[in-house]
Amino acid sequence: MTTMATSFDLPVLDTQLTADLCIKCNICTAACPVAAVTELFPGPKVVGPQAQRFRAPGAPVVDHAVDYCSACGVCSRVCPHGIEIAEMNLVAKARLADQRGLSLRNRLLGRSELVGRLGSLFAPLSDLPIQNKLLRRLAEWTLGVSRDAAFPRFARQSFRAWFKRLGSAPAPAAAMPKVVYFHGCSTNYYEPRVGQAAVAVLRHLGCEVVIAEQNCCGLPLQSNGEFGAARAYAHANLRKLAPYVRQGYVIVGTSTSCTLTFKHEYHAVLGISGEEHDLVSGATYDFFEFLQMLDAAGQLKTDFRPVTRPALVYHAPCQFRTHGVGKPAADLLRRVPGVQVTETQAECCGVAGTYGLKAEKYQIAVDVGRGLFSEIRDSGAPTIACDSETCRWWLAQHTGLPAVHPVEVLAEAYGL
Amino acid sequence: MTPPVQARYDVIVVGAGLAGLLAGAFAARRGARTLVIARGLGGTHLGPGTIDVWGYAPAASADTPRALAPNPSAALDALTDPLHPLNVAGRPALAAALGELQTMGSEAGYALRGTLDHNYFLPTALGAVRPTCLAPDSMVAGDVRMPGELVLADVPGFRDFYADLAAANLRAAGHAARALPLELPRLPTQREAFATDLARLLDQPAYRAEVAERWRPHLTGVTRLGLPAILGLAHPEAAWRELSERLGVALFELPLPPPSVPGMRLFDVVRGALERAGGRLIVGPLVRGWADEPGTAHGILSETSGHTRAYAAQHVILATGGFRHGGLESPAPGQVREAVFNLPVTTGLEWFAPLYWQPHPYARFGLSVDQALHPLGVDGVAWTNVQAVGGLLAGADRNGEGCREGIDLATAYRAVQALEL
Amino acid sequence: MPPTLSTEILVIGGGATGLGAAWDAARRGYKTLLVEKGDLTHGTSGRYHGLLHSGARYVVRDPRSAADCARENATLKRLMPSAIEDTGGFFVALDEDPPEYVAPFLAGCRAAGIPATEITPAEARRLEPLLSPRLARAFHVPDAACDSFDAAHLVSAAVTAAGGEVWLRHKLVRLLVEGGRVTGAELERLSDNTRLTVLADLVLNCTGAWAGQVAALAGCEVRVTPGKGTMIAMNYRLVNRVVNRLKPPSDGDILVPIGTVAVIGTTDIAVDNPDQYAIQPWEIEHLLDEGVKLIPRFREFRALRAWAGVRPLYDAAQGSSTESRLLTRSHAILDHAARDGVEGLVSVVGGKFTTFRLMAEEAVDLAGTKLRTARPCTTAQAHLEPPRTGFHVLRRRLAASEVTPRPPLVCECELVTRPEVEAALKVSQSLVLNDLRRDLRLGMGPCQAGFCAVRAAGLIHTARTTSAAPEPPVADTNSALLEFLQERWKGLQPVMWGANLRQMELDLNIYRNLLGADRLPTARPPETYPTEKTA
Repeated sequence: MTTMATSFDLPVLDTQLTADLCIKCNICTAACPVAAVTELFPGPKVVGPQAQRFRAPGAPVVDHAVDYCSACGVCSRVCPHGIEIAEMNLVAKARLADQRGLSLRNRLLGRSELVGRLGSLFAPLSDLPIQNKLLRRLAEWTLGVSRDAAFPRFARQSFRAWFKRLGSAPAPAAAMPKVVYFHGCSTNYYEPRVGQAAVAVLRHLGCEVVIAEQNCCGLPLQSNGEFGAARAYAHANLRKLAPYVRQGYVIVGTSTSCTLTFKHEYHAVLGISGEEHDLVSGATYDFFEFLQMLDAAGQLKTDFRPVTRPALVYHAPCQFRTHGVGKPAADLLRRVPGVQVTETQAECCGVAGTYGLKAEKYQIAVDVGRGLFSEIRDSGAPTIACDSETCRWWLAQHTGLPAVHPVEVLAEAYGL
Repeated sequence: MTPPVQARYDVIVVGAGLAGLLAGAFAARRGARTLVIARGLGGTHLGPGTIDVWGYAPAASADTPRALAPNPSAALDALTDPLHPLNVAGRPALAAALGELQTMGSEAGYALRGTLDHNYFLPTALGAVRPTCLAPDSMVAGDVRMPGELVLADVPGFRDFYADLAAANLRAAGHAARALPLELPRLPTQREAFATDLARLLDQPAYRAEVAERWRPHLTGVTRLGLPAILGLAHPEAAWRELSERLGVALFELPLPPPSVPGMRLFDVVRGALERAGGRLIVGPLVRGWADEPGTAHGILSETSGHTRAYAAQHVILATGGFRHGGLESPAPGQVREAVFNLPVTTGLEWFAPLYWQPHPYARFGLSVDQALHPLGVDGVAWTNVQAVGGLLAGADRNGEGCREGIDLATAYRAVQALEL
Repeated sequence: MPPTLSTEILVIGGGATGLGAAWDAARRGYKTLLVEKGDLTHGTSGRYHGLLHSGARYVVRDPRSAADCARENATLKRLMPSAIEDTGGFFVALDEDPPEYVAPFLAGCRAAGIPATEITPAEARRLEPLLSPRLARAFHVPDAACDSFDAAHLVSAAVTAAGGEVWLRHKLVRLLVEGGRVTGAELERLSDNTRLTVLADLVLNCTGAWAGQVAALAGCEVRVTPGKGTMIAMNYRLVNRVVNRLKPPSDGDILVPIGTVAVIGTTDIAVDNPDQYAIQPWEIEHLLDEGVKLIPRFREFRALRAWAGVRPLYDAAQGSSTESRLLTRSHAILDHAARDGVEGLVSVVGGKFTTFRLMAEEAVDLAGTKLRTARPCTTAQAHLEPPRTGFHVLRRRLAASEVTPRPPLVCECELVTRPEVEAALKVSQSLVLNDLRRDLRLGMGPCQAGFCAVRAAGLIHTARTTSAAPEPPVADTNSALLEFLQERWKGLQPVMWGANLRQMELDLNIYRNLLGADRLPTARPPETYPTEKTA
């Protein structure tokens, strides 16, 4: 009998091999927000490094509990030994999906760019099946998309269309970095205002800002187990963006999950490497990570004015925490006169990308986020600031408070 | 080539165990712009959640077992080795640190009881007795010298506590003890119950009422009842106090193998103090030192999400611990390396003892430091703006001496004190 | 006067050889008793690397052994598939290995009937991505991995099912010799030091590396050289097939996936005493160096545990000591009547695990002749069937724990459930956690009993607390725990660095600091705990 390594196993070997380091301390289990709220999930240690020792390449997947991992990444961060637990769980989930066959729902949820493009085309009609309660019930029954999960409305004009219509940009300052702004699907199809604020801020700081040909980062595909399609999207993005990096541009994004995908997931989960990958991955920054660096170099303007929403409760999304740069948005916004920022403690709001949208996971996601919803309400702040779009929509739904990207507040503080 | 600087701090502490969090909290509370950065969480989650300062009287000979010390301060007077971290830090630093930690506990609504001249003798989950200086309210009623039979709750379906065995060992040591089967309602049915599951259940008043109702009838004649350490995670004071009152007994917890609920509470207390004082905690990146030449550090390099970011600091405090979480690395047999700045490590020829639980010589390996906790470089000259605290220091057998947290506290305090913030 | 029993065939030794012989004899209808001083596979069988040889390793230097292995490999796969993972194997030559070895290797495989199929180095590395880029040639052979504990249990159950008896923890005190004839043995039951006498028509000495010592009890000289072999279990299953170096056999040239670990072995050093040997640091370095040749990243991985076994090397020439690796791995059946003038004793010497059934067949054939009741062997056609059938597969334990509700685990690393432990405690009444380890793999995973030893001790104490015995001595339970930890320590100390050292720090903090295990009363003083390999 020969066991054949599958496409899942070969390139991601390193991530899976970190299971070797586990000393079974249970720090990850104690930190896992999903295991804390549901019996269906035995915790990251069990489905991660413990189970990994029993998985042979090419052999049928026999463990199913890993499907409940939301890949929030808290486990990987709290592990003192550097075990890539969430990443190895993602590989195991993808193998499971491959074996079970991909549901129509997961294919749909994975294709945010396609959904966004079609939805945008037919906006506002396209809002109907998504916002209408009856049609949502049908969607839950047929597809398994939770009828309760809130989705945003499609923008009438995409961000790209807006950007193309912009007039000439102000002359950039010679000493400032040149930026390719990676907008991602959510900014383009749902929240162009976030991109508008980002471009305005970057130009105010003196950066040249361009947009490149780009496609979806592929994270939803990866999260839903379609590694083949995710890799195709990844390679397409690398091809489109590498030339800019070679010309000295950096890539900055306001969608923290997209930037993390470039920096980390393409390699650690999808197993991509090589010169083009290293170039793009090494030149990618989350928006506030980038601003924090400018500030450390003395290149950040601080000509702030008071803003209309000075009381904020800031939640750093789990994806953002995996960037590992602290909470620069909170630090920076506190320097705007009059702004008070309360930081939340909770690690994860629960939605974890598309996880909380699934009917069988919705309640778990709500339970995960329950503490955070209370924290937010108890803070007394009327506005939520959060770097991830899926978290914003989820938190807005469950707290009733408006949620903005911190760059929107910053843009207002600059008077833009 | 150093990557561009991500941010600048007055003090960067590497390590999020008790020593690191305390150093960060002490510094932040004194006005320093402070970052605590660590790959992963540290020893709080793996320990008993108590503060062990000095546990044993000196042994009469190598063969006789040591007696537990009722007064750690007095017992410490017999510790004459000037290189022991507790002596390097000094008694005043130890005393001040204990006081400030107790203040942090009160601020968080989680009192840590005790004084430097008193050790509690608390039962362990196996039925041995361990000495400790500060312990939460939820544990102190278990002191084996206090009157009253130690009745240990045998909770069916909870795998990390064997009340029969613990009670038998306590009896063998001359303490009145027995196991009493007591069921907890609404345990998970689809998987094992973790200590954290039970602790979160006991955070809820309605659940505590249910438990009290179920247990009370079985507790006639019981004055004190021992539980595995599950008495609440977010609301431990309420959980212990309310359940004790409803049951009409003195409750005490016994710390368990990780994940340690009392350890997690201790983490929350100190983390809260750090953050309320404006300190920043980043958990996740692997940290390497940033120094062009030995002797002075520019700061640290953080390896996160596949890329490196530099953090500039006036002062760096290494609280990376010993071998367990990689403060000291052993990449090959007989080799040891300090992980952040590659500082010289004080070692010995022998590493291991023939019997597993004898003191192992390697436990004493670590960094040698001056009175201000600056590590000595290869040339014997102390680094100017780097300090080392906690388990990274040479000269202590923390498992055997019962001084683990005492070293963390005293050295963290002394280090920050030396910064003269 | 010690109690006396009688039997037809008394088998001494509970390793693969003895179990095979007892099973074969019982199947043929002989009244059979097997006695073993420790637990099943206490000796070499429990300490080998788990390779079910295709035989290809021996084709050039030891063709008879190769041919035996080839036949028995196929036979055992039919006989006990549930103890065997049919991994297949590679023989790989690196660019530094002598290319002139390949032709005789292939010729030898053909002659022995071993299918050796060439594959390209690129294909070999596609299947085993960690293998060195310096692979020059690669061949696939039918090597497999065998769990000797599972196999031993299967055969032991078969002995009983066929009407034989198996007595564990019965030590041989002396052979009864009367008038040039071995008539039986005096045994000591270790649980209570009772002496027993067993009279037997024939004694089969199946004690492997100890065969010389046992034969000497009847005045017969048998030179068995204990050939110590050290091996290391790497914590992660680095390869999914057996990987052998394609060159003249030497140290560290086999890497075997056994369940969740990969075992690299071995060294080969003649020792004087099969009960006293230590692992030297140079052996560990040597094995790691050889591992690096096969897998360049080898030293990055966690060496979990090291141990040694002693090969029972029989020097048929009985000449002066030779390099132990050159001694044949073939077996021999010694009729002491013909050889030494001592009737009633047959010794089975040499051999290897893979050929245990064949050794047993030949031994019992001889026994039958001597007992004048020759009956045919049927073990080659048998099939030992436990509740599960088919080959052992790695994922079975994982699947068993992935049911709803999830079974409670005692040893999480190896997925050993609480019901399994409780059942094993009922059957064995054993207080020795090391036996639970052998039966269930408890404590054999990365945490090396860091968490499960105390859980198992708790279960042991609970199992012993009955209405008849409401207060069993706790010192016995404490000793079970501490002695198990000490036994684990023996195998950890030679490979104590890196992640293993982190593990030890965690475990010591739990046992010494958190639980205070080292301060508990024990039944035996610490000086008696084994610090090296002792009987």
